[in-house]
Amino acid sequence: MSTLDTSPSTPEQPMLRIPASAHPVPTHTKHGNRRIPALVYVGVLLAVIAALVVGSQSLGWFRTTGQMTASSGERVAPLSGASTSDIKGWMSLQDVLDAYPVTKDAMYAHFAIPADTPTTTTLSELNEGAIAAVDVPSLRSWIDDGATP
Amino acid sequence: MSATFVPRRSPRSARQIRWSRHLVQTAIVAWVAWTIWSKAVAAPGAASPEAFCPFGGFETAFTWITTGATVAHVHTANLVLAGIVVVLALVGRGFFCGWLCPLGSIQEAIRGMARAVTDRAPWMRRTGRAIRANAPWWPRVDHILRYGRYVVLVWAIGGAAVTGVMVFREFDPWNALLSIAEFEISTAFVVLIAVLGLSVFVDRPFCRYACPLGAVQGLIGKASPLAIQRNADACLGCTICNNACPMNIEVNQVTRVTDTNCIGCLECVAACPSQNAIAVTVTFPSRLPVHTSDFDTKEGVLL
Repeated sequence: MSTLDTSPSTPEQPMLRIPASAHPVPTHTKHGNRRIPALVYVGVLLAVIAALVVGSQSLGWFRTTGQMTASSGERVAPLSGASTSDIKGWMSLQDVLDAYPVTKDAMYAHFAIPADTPTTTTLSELNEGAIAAVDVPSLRSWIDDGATP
Repeated sequence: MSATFVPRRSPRSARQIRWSRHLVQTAIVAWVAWTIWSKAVAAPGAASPEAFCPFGGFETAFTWITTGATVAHVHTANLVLAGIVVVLALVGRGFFCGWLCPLGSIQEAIRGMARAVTDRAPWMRRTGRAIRANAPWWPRVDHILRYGRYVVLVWAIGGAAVTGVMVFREFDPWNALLSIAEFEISTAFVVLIAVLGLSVFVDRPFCRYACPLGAVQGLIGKASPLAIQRNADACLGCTICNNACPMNIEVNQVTRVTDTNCIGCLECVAACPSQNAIAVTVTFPSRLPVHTSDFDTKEGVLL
């Protein structure tokens, strides 16, 4: 007998016949349970996510960049010069020159940066644009080592 | 003995579940692609795509708790998303993996396309059956490999806590995908290619064997009151639900699917031909033992 035998079906409610050979594993639980429509399950969980994201954004916790605050869009505080670990790829050469005891000539000479490169260029632009190999880790270690040309 | 009949699930409800999921997955993947693009064109202040990775929050948690700072490449958004994943796991088990994770969606799409091809080529189907028939050891190996997620989890979180650097990042296929616009051949990129290649043959290989975020959710999800539940009285005893499960869980062998591998995708629910055999249920304490055929009961029925 086919599993899809639908003898007592009505157009509104098609039925399936459980085959005589079927021996489904019995089910047992000690808990009460309530069925949840699948789309309610999805809708509620998506709503939970949306509520938590919006809530955290309104509290200013949801910062997605070190450059701007996501909540207010304000630029974060400039480099203090206390630690080279604060240097980020989005910072410009001028940001670094302002914060650390480094001269422009020494930096340009050490990293073979073309002389006509403006100091407003960001470290990422230099690296990704193949203008000079100024990756952030090597810049940090160069400054930590005394910033010699 | 009279025949037993059970209501048939309407094809419409199955379509609703599948289309809803694919819609959500597509929207998330499209949004991630847009984020990668906007970062690639170097918009000032554009959010780093890495800021939307919940696992970064878990990796930086120790550093953040002990020093108040986050490790490199991690922002407070990662911590918020990690918290959201914890809440989601507590409420809906693996919902994030099955409905939201873009890497899981991409693996699933590749597997779906591969299946679409093999289903139309009889010689490929025969070859697949022959390989499975000649590899009886595979289920055992698959079972052992699944512990890999926990190894990666301990290594990634422990390594970040000890060194202050995201040690997993260099091998993370998700990171490679987010950096795809940089065209850099890195270790992570090789892992990404391997994962996508394996997806042709195996359902969600990264999710099964290496995803530390899935491991976190599986463990936390154990406390969730929601789960897929099977009703033996309406079960036809077929294995359609097992075959539909992308994580190869034997749904027809259990009462409640509390397996840590469950990603809450509802494919088993959509695939089941019997209307009342498999459903999402919420449990609550009951003084009396309950027979699971009685979905929607408060009092329960003595077995």
